[in-house]
This record gives sequence, structure tokens and C-alpha cells, in this order.
Amino acid sequence: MQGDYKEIKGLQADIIAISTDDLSGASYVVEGLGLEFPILYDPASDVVREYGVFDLLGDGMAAPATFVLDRTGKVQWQYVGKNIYDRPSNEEIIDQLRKLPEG
Amino acid sequence: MTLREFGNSSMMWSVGLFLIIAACGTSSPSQNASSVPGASSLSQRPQATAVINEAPVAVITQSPSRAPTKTPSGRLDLDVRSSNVETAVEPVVSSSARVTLGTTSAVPAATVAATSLTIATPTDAANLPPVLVQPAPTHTPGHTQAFQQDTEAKLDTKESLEEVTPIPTAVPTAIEVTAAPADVPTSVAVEEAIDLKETSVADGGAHRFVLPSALGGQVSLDEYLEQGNVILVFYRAFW
Repeated sequence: MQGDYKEIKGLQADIIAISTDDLSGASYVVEGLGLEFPILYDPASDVVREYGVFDLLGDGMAAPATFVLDRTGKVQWQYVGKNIYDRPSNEEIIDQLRKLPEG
Repeated sequence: MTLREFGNSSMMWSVGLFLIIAACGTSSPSQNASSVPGASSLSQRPQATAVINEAPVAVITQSPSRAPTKTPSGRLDLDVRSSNVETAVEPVVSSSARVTLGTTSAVPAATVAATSLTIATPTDAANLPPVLVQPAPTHTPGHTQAFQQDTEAKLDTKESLEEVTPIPTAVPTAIEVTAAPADVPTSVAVEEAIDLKETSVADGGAHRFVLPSALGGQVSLDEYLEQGNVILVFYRAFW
């Protein structure tokens, strides 16, 4: 998503990534890849549970999922992967952003 | 011949006939008895002994005659028709038991054939499968009573077991087989998880959070929402 980050920013949106994995080695990767959006750590999986995507694949971890929130904090679109590689494409996410009312 | 001469002659014949009858009546009884077959005394007859487990259990008396005869007392004397009849059961020491009714060669062949019986010979027993032979029980009143009590106790136990575990008398009917669904979704849990009615986002309002960032510091969702829309991504790190 880093490749389409500018286009996403042009749609008055930003990206927040959340993981339950240990991020002890993540800083080097984030800096090495030049990521412009934050990667957050949810060690207790509390946020993952609140969004209802915890342990959906039976591995005690968060299922891959994407939520599109408008500026009021309302969920406008969501996609939950059926396996660890099932993710929506950047184009599909951008299309959902285009549907949101301009602020 | 005159009448007087005839009377004297008749008297002489009568006396002569009487003397003859008297002479026959004075013959010895032993001579009469000897003429009756099978009338000899029991003590004078040869005997054959039936032996079972080396203990004599019966005595069979031989009779020299060939056919049943009637004794002076009016009873029928039945001939055994065998000069030596022996029933022997050897002590059980091997895997085969043998019972033989044997006769001697002095007995006529017609009677031998009817009395000889062999159940198993040692040669035949060698070809038979091994049989567990238990020693013959000692039939004393005490042991017999104990055996009966033990048998009755076992029968009572069997009845009690049958009461506990009754034997089914009816054959189960055909089992209904429910066909498994042909196409089972592989991600049922995921499909259900898409319905977020029980989460904080069920009403559309996203759950607010503050989490640590990989680059340090804390990140609040509200701070990002103040600037615009947010793409929230739950992912797995591969580093």
C-alpha cells in the first residue's frame, strides 16, 4: 500500500496498520521500506477483538482484514480475508474511498 | 387156565410191575439233577469278573449249557454265553481312554463277536488331537456335596449376570444415514465473523484505541480521524 500512499493521501485518507505480532524487529523493516504510515502493536489483541477479527483462522491471531472509516469514525466498508493471503487490492480500497463524501 | 391160575398170574405181574417202579424210585437224585443242564451249584461254576478302575464291581457266572433251561424250582436259568467276560477301564494316565470287552479264544466265535468292543486303541489315539484329561473325581459324599454347591453357586452367578446385562432380543432396525453436506464452506468462521453485530463496530461506530507504534510513541485513532478518513488494516508481519 506504500506504493499507492500518495493517491490515498490525495483522497483525504491515511493508513493505520495493526498487528499482534512481536514488533521487536519491525522498526528496522519499517525504516528500511520507508513506510510513511504507522504500524501499531496490539499485544493483548484487545483492539483486534473489538473489531471482531481475532482468531478467525484458528491460530490465535488476527485475521487479515481491512476497514474503511470515514472522518466521523463510522465503518463504511470492510473486508475480512478467508486466509492469511486474502486481502483486497489497493484499487478496490481506493474505489471505496472515492465513494466517501468529501469533507 | 382156570380162574385160580389166572388170579395168581395177575398178582405176579402186579408184584413184578411194582418192583420195577420201586426200583426206578430209589435211583439217586444226583443222577436226575445231572441230567438237567445248568443245574450245577453256583460254587462249582467258573466265574468271570468285570473290573472297572482296577476294582471288581460285578461277577458274571458262566453256564456250560447252550440254551436256557428250567430248574427244578421252576426258574429259567439264563446262560451268559461267555466263558470269560472282563470289563476293564485302565487308569487315566494318557490322552486316550480305552474300554475293552474281551473274550478268550476258548469261547465260541459266535459269542465273541457280540461281546468285543473297542472304543479307541493306543494306535488310534496317537492320531487324535490332544485332549485335556482330568483325573477321575473321587466320589465321596463330601466332595459330591461341595461340587453340587459350587455348581449351584455358578448357576446363580450366571443368572445374576444375565439380569445385569440382558441379552438383546430385537435386532436393531436399519440405521438412518444422514448424507453429509456435499459442499462444506472452508471458511465458515470467517463468513460468520464478517457479521460484526457483537462488536463495537456493529452500529457503524469504529472502536477508538491508542496503541504503541513500531517507530516508538503512541498512536491514537481519534487523532487520525480529525484529519480525514482512515484505512485500518489488520495484518501479519512477515519480518
